[in-house]
Amino acid sequence: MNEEAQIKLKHVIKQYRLYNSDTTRLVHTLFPFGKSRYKSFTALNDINLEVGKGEIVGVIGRNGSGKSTLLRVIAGVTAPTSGNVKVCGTIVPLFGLGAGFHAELTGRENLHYFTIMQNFDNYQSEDIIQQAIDFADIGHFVDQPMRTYSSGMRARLAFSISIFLDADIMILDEALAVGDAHFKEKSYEKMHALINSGKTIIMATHSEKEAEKVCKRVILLQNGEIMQDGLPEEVIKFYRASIKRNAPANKKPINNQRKKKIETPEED
Amino acid sequence: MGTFLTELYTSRKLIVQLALRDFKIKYVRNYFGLAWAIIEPLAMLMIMLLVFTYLRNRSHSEYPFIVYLLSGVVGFNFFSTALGQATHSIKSFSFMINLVHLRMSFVPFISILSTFFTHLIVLGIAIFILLLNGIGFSWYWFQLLYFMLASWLLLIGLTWFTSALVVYVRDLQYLISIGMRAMFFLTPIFWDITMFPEQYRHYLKINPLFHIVEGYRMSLLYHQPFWSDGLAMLSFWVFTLFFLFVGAFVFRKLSPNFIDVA
Repeated sequence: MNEEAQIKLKHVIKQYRLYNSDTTRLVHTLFPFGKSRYKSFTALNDINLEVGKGEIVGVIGRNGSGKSTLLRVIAGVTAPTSGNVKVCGTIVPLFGLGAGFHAELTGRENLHYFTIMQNFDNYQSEDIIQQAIDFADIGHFVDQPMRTYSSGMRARLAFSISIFLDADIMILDEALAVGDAHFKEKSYEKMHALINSGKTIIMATHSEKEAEKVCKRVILLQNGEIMQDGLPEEVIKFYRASIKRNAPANKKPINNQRKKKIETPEED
Repeated sequence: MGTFLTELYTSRKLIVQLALRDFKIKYVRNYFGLAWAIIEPLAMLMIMLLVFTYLRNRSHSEYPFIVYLLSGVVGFNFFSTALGQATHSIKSFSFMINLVHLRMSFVPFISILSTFFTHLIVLGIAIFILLLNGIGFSWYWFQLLYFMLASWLLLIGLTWFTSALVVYVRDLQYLISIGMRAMFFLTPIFWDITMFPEQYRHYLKINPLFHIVEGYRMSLLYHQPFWSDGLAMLSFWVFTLFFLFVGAFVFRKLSPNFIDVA
């Protein structure tokens, strides 16, 4: 990576405190003295990572390996427990399928508020929204309340608006998981175009095929550590082998103890 | 404090837009839509009018009862609805934690502002009804701005406290709704302070909402300056400053954990 690093993580550690109840958490947060009853869960353990401008990096790993936490830390949504995160440029994070969309508002209205929430100025947002609508290609559903959408439509709209917001860095967490083949194809092309114009993309995915096809570099996370970082074919090969080798490891209690609410909370 | 205010200024558009979004969502699904923002408080008013016209002591007020009731209940309703909504705000806006770089302590403002839009509409109707009942325009009406600001400040302090706590202790919301119901009777909305013997009146004025509710009347009906009831005003500001400090402290301590808990 010859380019200057756009994202730089140094010795990043993220720990979550697991309390027995919300009350003990409350008391200990308000009055943080004395011995307290919590267990630490290390979601990210000493992560060192540099991503240059124009890179497209896939993040793979099992459930609970720290993918989402890593993306959240990079997006600045959550602060690391220790370590250093440096990010240059604007970020559009896309967590979950259409988080931030409200079921009662139409697709168009949701896009409108989404652009506002991403702090984009009004004068160009109408253009962006129209482009996104054209790209998502969900027909007359755009003007229907979102509760009538299929999950694929919601994901299409969310993905489309994120790519047209023209941020320097895009963070995608399983953004294309439910899109159909045709839309995926179209999206990969668009992502390549973005990379060529100097954007940076970091995407977490469970589809090894997708990682292999889209990414130039793949990171494998395991128990909060970077196990592998390199060319997609090699990392994926390693990942497949490790899955076979460690299949029973799934039953280790640590995996069940994942912090309670890490998924994107959906609005109701 | 300085950075807080500059950040508030830079986030103002976002807060207003999110409040508009909230406002829209509240009414979009109903057939009558926005009309409910008007119908609901009016219906409430009619019911109270029916009930309390029978119960009230006729001696105390020179104003028609509807005028007296309306001028008091408007401010109270804003306060109690905003308190309820904003207490939920951290929970109901938790989807935003991932999306928006908005200081968490502004989140209750979104709910208060969205309720405030409704309040302005209702206030407009209330003033219309007052005019129909022969209450004339006065420059004292602009004093409402002071009482609105005052309600905002008390609401901010209180809801920093409640919205942060309710994330951990959900039961709090029930206590608040019981509390507000009690406050409805402890505040001079349908009764008048002169109905009580002199020596008990001071105690009633300790209630911070006394200043707000009577303040709306001072501006709309009595045409008195807002400082004319010193005790009520003093008590209000003591409560407000207390809750602003406690609220800010609690919110500051708890907000880093919202992403894990909310």
